Amino acid sequence: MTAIDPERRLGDRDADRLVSVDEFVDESHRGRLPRSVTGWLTTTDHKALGIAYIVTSMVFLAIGGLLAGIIRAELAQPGIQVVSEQTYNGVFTIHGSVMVYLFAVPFGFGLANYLVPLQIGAPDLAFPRLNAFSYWLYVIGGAVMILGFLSDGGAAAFGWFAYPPLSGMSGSPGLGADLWIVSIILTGTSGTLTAVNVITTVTMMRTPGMTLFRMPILTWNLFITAFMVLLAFPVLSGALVMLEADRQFGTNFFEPVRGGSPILWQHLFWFFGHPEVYIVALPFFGVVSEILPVFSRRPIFGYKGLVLATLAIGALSTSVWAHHMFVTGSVVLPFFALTSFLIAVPTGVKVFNWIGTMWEGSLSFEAPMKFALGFLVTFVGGGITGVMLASPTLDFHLSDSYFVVGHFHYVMGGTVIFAMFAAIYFWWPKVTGRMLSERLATVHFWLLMVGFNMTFFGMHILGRQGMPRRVADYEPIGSFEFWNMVSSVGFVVLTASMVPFLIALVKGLRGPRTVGADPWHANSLEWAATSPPPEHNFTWLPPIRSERPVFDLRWINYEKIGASGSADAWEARQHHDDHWLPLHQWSRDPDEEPTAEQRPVIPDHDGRPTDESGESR
Amino acid sequence: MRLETLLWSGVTVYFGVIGVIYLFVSDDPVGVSVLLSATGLGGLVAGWSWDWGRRHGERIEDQAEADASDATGIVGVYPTESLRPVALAVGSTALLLGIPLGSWLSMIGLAIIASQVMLLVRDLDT
Repeated sequence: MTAIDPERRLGDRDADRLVSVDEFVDESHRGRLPRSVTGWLTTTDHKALGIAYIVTSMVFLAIGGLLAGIIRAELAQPGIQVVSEQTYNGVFTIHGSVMVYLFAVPFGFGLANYLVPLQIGAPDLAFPRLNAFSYWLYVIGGAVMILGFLSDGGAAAFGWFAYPPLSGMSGSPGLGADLWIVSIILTGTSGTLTAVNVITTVTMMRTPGMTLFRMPILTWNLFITAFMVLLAFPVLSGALVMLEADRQFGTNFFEPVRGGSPILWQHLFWFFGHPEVYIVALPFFGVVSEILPVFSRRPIFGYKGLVLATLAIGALSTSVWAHHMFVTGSVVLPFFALTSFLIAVPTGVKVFNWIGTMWEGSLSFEAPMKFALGFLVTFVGGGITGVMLASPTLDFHLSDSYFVVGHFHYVMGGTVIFAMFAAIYFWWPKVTGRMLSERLATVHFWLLMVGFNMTFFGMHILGRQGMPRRVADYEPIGSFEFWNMVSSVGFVVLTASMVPFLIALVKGLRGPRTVGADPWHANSLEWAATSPPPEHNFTWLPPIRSERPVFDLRWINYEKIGASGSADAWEARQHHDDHWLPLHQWSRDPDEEPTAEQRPVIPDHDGRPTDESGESR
Repeated sequence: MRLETLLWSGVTVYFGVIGVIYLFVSDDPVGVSVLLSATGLGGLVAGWSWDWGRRHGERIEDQAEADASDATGIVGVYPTESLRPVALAVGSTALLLGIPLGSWLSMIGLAIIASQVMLLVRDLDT
C-alpha cells in the first residue's frame, strides 16, 4: 500500500509548498517495544499496554469465533450432531461473554491506551502503573473464564446475562459458574480502573492549545465511554458479588424460593448491560469519525453536533435498561419505550454527520475507508431493527427469538468487527512504521462483507418465524433448515476472510520501516509523532488551533485553508528559546532535551509570513 | 476546568431529573436507587472539578491561544517499569477465586496484595 500522493488532490496548486510533518520529527526517536518477557511483564508504557490489550482481545476474538463455529456447526442441520445440549449451553454462554466482556470492550480500551495520550499531546496516561494493573486483571480474569471449560460440569451455561435462578446454586451447581462470576468481577474492575485513568488523563493532561472542543472525536468518545463505564461497571460488580454471595454464603438476594427477587438481578444487570452496548460501540463510532474525514478530504461535518450526540447517547443509554425486560411484565413500558425511541435521535444525528462528511468530498477507498463504510451499512441495518425492538408490542413477539440475535450481531458484531478492522488498517502504519497490503485488504473486506451478511441476515427471518435463541436443536419447520444452513455457510466465508488478513499481517511485519509520520495525510496529533511514536510520545508538537492540528500544519503556507491562528502561532514561536519541551515532557536525561527544528514560516520585514525559501506569499 | 465542571454538572442534573421522573412513574426501588446514586456520583466529580477550578484558576490547556512553549519543563516523574501491577493482579484473582475454591487461596491472595501494596508505596517514596 502506498501513502497518499499529495499531488492527486491538489489540483492546480503548487505541491512544494505543502508542509510535511517528517521535516520536524527525528526518525531516530522512534519508540521501541519491550524486547523480553520481563520487559512485557513490567512495562508501564501506554503504547506497549495498548498493543498488549489489542493483541489479547484479538486472541479472545479467535476463541469466541471458535465457539461460534461450534454453534454454527451444531445448528447447520436439525438434530444433535456436534456437542451435547449442556455443552452447547456452555458454548453459547462463553461465546457471548468472551465477545462482549473480553473482546469488544477491551479492544476499545486498547484504542484508549494507545491513542488518547497521543491525540491530546500527553506523554502517557495519568496512572501508568494502574493501567498495567488493569491490563493484567483483564488477562488473568479472562483466562479464569476460559478455564471454566476444564472444571467439573463444564463452563457456565446460563447465557451472558446470567439470569437467576438459573445462575444460582440450584440452577448451576458447577464450579464453572463461579469461575464466570469471578472472571467478570475481575474484568469489570479492570474496566472501571481504566475509565478512571482515561477521565483523569483527558481532564488534566492535555497539551496547551488542546481545549476540550479541539479534541479528536475518538478521544471525546472514549472520554464519554469512560463516564459510562464509571456509572455502569460498579453496578455489575456489585450485583455479581451479591450473586456469588447467594451461591457461596447462603444469602437470599435473587433466589425466589428463599424470598429473593430475580427481577432485582435483571434491573441491576441491565442497568449495566444497556450502557455496556454503547460502551462497546462508542469507541468504534469514534474510529470511523476519525477515518471518514481523512479519506473524504473534508473536515468532520458538525463537530460539536457529534460531540453533543455522543453525550446524549451516553446519557440516554443509562435510562433505557428495562427495555430488555419488557416481557417480564413488571416494568413501566411507556417510560422505557419512549427513552429507547429517543436514543435513535442522537444516533441518527451521528449517521447524518458521517454522511455529511463524505458529501461532496474527494473520496478515495483505501482499506480503512472500505471498512468504515462497511461499518455504516451494518450499523444502520442493526439500528433499524433496534427501533423495531424498542416497541413493546413488537418486542413481546420477537423477544428471545433469533430476530434479537440478528439485531445485536448487526449492531454490535457489525459495528465492532468492521470498525475494528478499519482501525487496524488505519493505525497500523502509526504503530508499526509499515503499511498493510491494499490488495489483500480488498479481498478481506469483500469476503467479510459477504460472509457477515450471509451469517446474520437470515437470523431476522428465522426469528420472525419463531425460532427461539439458545437452542441446540430445532424441528425442520418453515424455512428453518434453509436459513440455518445459509447462516452456517456464511460463517465459513466469514472465517475465510481472516486468511487474507493474517497473511497481510505477517507480510506487514516483515520488511523495513518505510512509513513516515503521516502516511494518510491525516488530521489529529498522533500523526505528528514518528511511526512508531517515541518513548513518552512527543519530541515536538505543532501549534493546536483547531481539531485538526496536523492538517493545519500541512497547509500552513496556504491562506484560507486550515485554522487561521496556526500561522500566527508559528510566528509566536520565533520569540521563544529553541530548547522548549511540550508540557509534561518526560526526560530521563535533561541534557538531551529535543528541540524544535527548522520552521517553515518566517516573517519577512513587512511582518508577512513567508515560506522557507524566503519567498513572500 | 469550567467545561469539565459543566459536563459533570450535566451528568448530575440529568440523572437527578430522570431519577425523580422515574420515581413518580414506576414503583421500582432498584432503578430509583441506581439513578439517584448516579446523581450523587456525578455531583461528587462536578463538585471536585468546581473546587479545583476555583482554587487553581484558568489552566493553560483551557486557553485557545496557548502553545506548547507556554508550559515547558518537567512537571512530573513517570514511574519506572514494575512487577507490582502483575503481582497485584495475581493476588486479586487469588483473593476472589478463594471464594469458590477455599479460603486458603484467599489468604494467599490477601498476603500478595498486602505485600505488593506496601512495596508499591515504598517505590513511590524513593
